[in-house]
Amino acid sequence: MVDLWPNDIAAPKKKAPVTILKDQASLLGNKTQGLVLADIKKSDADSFYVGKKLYKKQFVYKFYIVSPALENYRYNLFSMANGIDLYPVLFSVDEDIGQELGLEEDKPLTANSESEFIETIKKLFASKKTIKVVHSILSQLE
Amino acid sequence: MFAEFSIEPSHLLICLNSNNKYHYFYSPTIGCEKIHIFTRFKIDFIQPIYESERLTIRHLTLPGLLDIILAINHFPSKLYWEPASQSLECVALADTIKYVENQVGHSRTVLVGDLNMNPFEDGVVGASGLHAVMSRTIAKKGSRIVQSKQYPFFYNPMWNFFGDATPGPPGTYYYDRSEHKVYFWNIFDQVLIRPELIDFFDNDEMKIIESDGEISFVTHHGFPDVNNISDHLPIFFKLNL
Repeated sequence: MVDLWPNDIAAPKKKAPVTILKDQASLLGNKTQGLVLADIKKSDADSFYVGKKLYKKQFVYKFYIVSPALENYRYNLFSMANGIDLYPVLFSVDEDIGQELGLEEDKPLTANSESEFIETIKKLFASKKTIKVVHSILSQLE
Repeated sequence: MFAEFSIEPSHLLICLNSNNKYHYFYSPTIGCEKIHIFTRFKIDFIQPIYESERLTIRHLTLPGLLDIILAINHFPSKLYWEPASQSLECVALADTIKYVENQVGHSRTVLVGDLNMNPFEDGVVGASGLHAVMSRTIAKKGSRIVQSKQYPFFYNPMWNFFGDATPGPPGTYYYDRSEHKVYFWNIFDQVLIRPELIDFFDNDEMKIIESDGEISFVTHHGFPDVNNISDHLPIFFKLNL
């Protein structure tokens, strides 16, 4: 029988945003001697609200800062969603982060490509809010 | 517990501790900056275990008493969020609470806060939302099954506070506008109690507060004093653990 499937069908051309995020999440523990970790959980929801706007048929993920030593404390820093095409990725962020990044109301933070996604999570990780939460956890563990 | 707080916590702490009757503590959050908590016990007993921008969930572990989960939240205002958004947020909150209950190992949970929704709205009543019912008897059944999925109840005592036949004001939030459907009085500030804690909760001790004993929180018309105090009236409740 002739195989009609293309040879490269199982080889994904693009890395899923959540895979990139998980790779990055695993690095936080190294920088904090395991005191502060990052975790990503897939939400059961298949729709995503940013402000008043509803985006349907989305894979929704929540990003957490976690402290195993503080009763597994977790802070939901941001949520993100993408459709079957992987991009664009939509983000829902704290008001504080939104202000810091100069976001306009009802205009979600969006990454339209892998490079934009990497740039966006870099900004989120470096935001004052992220640093404040990490520092706050570390100070409680001193 | 404050959902709206515009002064420095230390200022209030100084005021609270100036009468020498009780000693108050301020329990800081780690990441949630909307909510502020003052206690009459050491803050070690009320550690945060889950937070987001508008939610802090604490594990209350007072010595010699049953430990409980205390979730405090402040939902976005109706001015900024549509009813559908609010309902979906309730579904997310319900899931978060269930996640924390699984982590802690019990569901002795109290949810309190400014829900910016009335007790009868979809997100508060809906099974996949907060699933908060008006009757202790129904809530004490524990849960119910909808479409093969089990949903735990909350008991919502706030239903008892609607209207002017109640001992206090007809609601916690007043809204009047020239449109067809207006409730005027709303109960956005609520406390919801899991069935496991209902027997520790006395309805007679719960109230909507109009005054701190010296200063009135309402105008001479009986509406919340928006200009001097707040557009919401606080609630008082007690759990005899």
